[in-house]
Amino acid sequence: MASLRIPRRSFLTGLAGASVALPFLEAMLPRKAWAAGTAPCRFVSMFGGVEQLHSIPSSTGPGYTMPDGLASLESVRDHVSVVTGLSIGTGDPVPAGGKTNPHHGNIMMPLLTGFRSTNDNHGVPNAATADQIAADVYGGDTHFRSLEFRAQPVGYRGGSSGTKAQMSYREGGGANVPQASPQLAYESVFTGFTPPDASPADLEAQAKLLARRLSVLDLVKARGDDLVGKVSRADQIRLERHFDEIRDLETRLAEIPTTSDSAACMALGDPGADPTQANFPNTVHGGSAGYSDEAARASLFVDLIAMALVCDLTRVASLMITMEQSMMSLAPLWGVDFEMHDLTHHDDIPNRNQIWNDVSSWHVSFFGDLVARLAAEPEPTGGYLLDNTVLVMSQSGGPTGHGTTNMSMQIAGRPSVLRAGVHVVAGAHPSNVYQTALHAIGIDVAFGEVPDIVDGLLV
Amino acid sequence: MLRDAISRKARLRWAGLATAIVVGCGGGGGTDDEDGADPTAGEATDGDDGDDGPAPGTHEPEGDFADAEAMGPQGLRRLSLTELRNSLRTAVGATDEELDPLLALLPGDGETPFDNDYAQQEPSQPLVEGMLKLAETLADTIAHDGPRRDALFGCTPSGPADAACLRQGVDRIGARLVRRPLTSEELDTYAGFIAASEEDGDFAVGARLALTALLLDGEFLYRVIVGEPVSGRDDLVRLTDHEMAARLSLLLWGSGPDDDLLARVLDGGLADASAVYDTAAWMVQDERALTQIQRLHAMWIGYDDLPVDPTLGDSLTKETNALVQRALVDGEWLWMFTADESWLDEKLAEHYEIALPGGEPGWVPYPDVRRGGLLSHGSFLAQGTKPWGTSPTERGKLVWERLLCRDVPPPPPTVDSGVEPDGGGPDACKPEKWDMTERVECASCHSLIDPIGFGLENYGPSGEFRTTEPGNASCGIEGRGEVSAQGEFFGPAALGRLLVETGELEGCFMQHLYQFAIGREPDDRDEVMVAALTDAFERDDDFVALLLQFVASEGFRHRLSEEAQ
Repeated sequence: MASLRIPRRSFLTGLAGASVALPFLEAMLPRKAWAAGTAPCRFVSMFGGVEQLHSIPSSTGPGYTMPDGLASLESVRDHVSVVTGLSIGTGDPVPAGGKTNPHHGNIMMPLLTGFRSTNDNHGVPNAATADQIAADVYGGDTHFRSLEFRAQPVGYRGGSSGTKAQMSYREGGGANVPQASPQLAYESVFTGFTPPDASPADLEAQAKLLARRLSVLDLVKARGDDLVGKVSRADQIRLERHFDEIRDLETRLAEIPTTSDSAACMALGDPGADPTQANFPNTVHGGSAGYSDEAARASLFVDLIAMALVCDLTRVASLMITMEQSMMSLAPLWGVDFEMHDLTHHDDIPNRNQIWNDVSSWHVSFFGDLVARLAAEPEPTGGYLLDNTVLVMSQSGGPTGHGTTNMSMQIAGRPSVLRAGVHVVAGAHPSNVYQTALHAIGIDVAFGEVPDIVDGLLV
Repeated sequence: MLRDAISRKARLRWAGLATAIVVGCGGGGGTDDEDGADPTAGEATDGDDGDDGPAPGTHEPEGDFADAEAMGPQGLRRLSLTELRNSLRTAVGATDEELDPLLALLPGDGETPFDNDYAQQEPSQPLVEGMLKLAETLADTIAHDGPRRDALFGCTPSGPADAACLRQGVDRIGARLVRRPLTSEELDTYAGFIAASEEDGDFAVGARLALTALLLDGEFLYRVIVGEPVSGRDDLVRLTDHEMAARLSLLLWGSGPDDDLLARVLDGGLADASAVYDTAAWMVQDERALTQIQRLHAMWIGYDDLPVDPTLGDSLTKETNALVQRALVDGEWLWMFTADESWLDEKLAEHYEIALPGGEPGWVPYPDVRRGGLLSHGSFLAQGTKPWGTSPTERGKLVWERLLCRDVPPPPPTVDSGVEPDGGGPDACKPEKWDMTERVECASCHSLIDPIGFGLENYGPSGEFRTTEPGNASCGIEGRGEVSAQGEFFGPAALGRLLVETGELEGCFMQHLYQFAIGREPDDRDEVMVAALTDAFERDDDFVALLLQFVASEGFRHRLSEEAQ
């Protein structure tokens, strides 16, 4: 199996360890300078596609007992609050903010938007997710309005698109399809960055390549504009959306990104080709179960998000670590020939409960990793990045199979508004955690059908 | 009387194709089957049976097939990943080795069960970034591989500034990619990239840029239809001949047109319904058509991605592909559901515990009268498997929804359908576990679909025979099933016969064919064509003949825009 060439945690000066990253040529990239205390707010959400077995602390308030399903958060416990007692209702008719069956496609809409999934809307969100509400407010001044990534590249069994494979939606519907290739994500995020040892000839060659690339895209776009004028109105709308994406790409390629004034802002090392899929035995379903080194992919995406925030290339990001109802093989990381989703249904898995908790903990480890980095990274205007960033982590269900009662979410950042390091039993809807997160960065909206703030999270 | 059967010779040509087709080699061809067995061995190959279809140039659409508005509105579609792969094979000779890592960078397709539903095709940054990477990588490879580039371009550049050679290359490759000849003005535009070649003193530089632009072109990635106006109508257009060629080749071959098809267009090969019929009859003789029809069946039933051991899955796919192929060759589609023999290799024979005479792969009569037809294939039976084993509910639901096109409402919100029913306790036998009669809201559906699945319980998750429940040997399996209002049955052969007797299989498959062709779920706007297809298929279950009628219909060569309601 191929692996990413750059070890994680090796990139970010000031964030972790020795850096092998390349500070880009300062002359090439204009910097932003914020006045003291005026650093921008940021928002990050993550999702893991497995239900949680033991992710509810046995005690509340500060100093809570870390449950096995969140064990990886121990080192950042002072920054992370755990919210439990979260439920998505079911019933006929479906209650406000509730969900219908089948579970997997239909939990994402109420979880991420606060609106009910029904047999009529098929669980396809038609309202903005919290990250996009944040992007509406904070995404206008950055190179990327928002970043959407997914570490699990394919569904393995079942489709690789649709509601189970995406977690970011714009107002009125329309998914922000996540980038599942670290290679492409890397190339996208660091376009315009230049190695510090680049010679004038290198720079000239790079400029020529860029100019030619843009000339190709110009032609594609011009032909697209011509094509749009020839087709029916409904086709025009679809084509225009495609060529809008081309236009955005061209704009980003042509634009010299304006970055933050942080000394830590630098291009990461090239990760090279994406890890390839390896197949493992599949005890329950027969055939094989796939694994594409999601651990390495997720780590790289965390690296990219961290640096994009440090550089102020974006202020909003989402990372789907595994797809809802993930069918990723457990074999390479946990040594059993089962799919991740089998944890929910198959009690013959050796050490099932321990593995299940480890799997949950593995998911939240990426959340904890990003929290730790942002907590250690100085904000150019004083304090740390975590002071101005709110992060939310959710998984796909509660402790009883496909149950959606007593779910657990994690939230961190914005300590001036949010309590850190506490366990709060909210007795609320999961969407209320997102609404509270938005509130923490100054966005007060009625989020979903059962809007509310989790008061216990507020300072 | 309309003679609506494909040429017998065409079918026999399929029959004569080696088993590369059976293993699903997908368009590129090659006879790499290790078994070397012909799944159609035993078929008649001795010539004309007098059923050669209409004489060339004599086909005329009749009834609703002559209705230009028979197909409902059609939206703009993007190429599916399979269509993209096949089109790049056709246009620039791309190999799977080149394409696998590049296509992996693109967002995946949906499964509705087909991979081409335009309602699920979201334009996105990952798509355009992935396409840019694909285009630049492929263009770079081709442009810098002199012999390959020159073969594709049909010329060897005389020097870096050979604009005529670049123009010729764009002309040849561009027509395959955008599925029509490029205009002189368009060619001039692409040939303008020769300036980069001149600047760098390297012909490959401009060639790379031109190829990149072509591969990113909207007319390549999207199935654009501009059409020719229909008098008095703003919402209806008649496809140009090249648009018709694209629609035909993407439906019948899963690929853009090749040079031969483009040449036929210029020779008037799609000028009218008779010409379309003749061209389509020519196209279905190509092994790409068989691969595509097998893929259609695989997506319809769900065995395109079998949840079984890959080696076994390969054998199971061969078995079902052979069945589909033979039904097509014989012109008896319904036979697939009642066949009393099957094509087996050594692995499958062992798996099914059926003797393989001589140990050689081939057609073998079923010794068990309960086995028969596609429903006894492991490829079908594997679809209804849950983590705990076979699910009578899932199998029944598959038959009910996918084969009969009847609705099954989702379970009530409070039911976790991922959990094995536990009526009667953990040691209870399956019929008792599945007893849903106490919950009225469950019973109404389960009483219809579960009995179908119970009639298949003697066959395990991949079609292996069993007489007792796995893990509970004290529970014998009776194997009795029932199709509501049709009657009782034991095993897949009897179920297949019952389904044929419903008279609904043909209509349901026609709905799926139509869905695959139009790229969305059919609704009441599509009733005319679905009914026409169903009527024709019920009269004669020769699927290939039906397909020819369909593509030569007026509805197929017109396009109603989505503004029309």
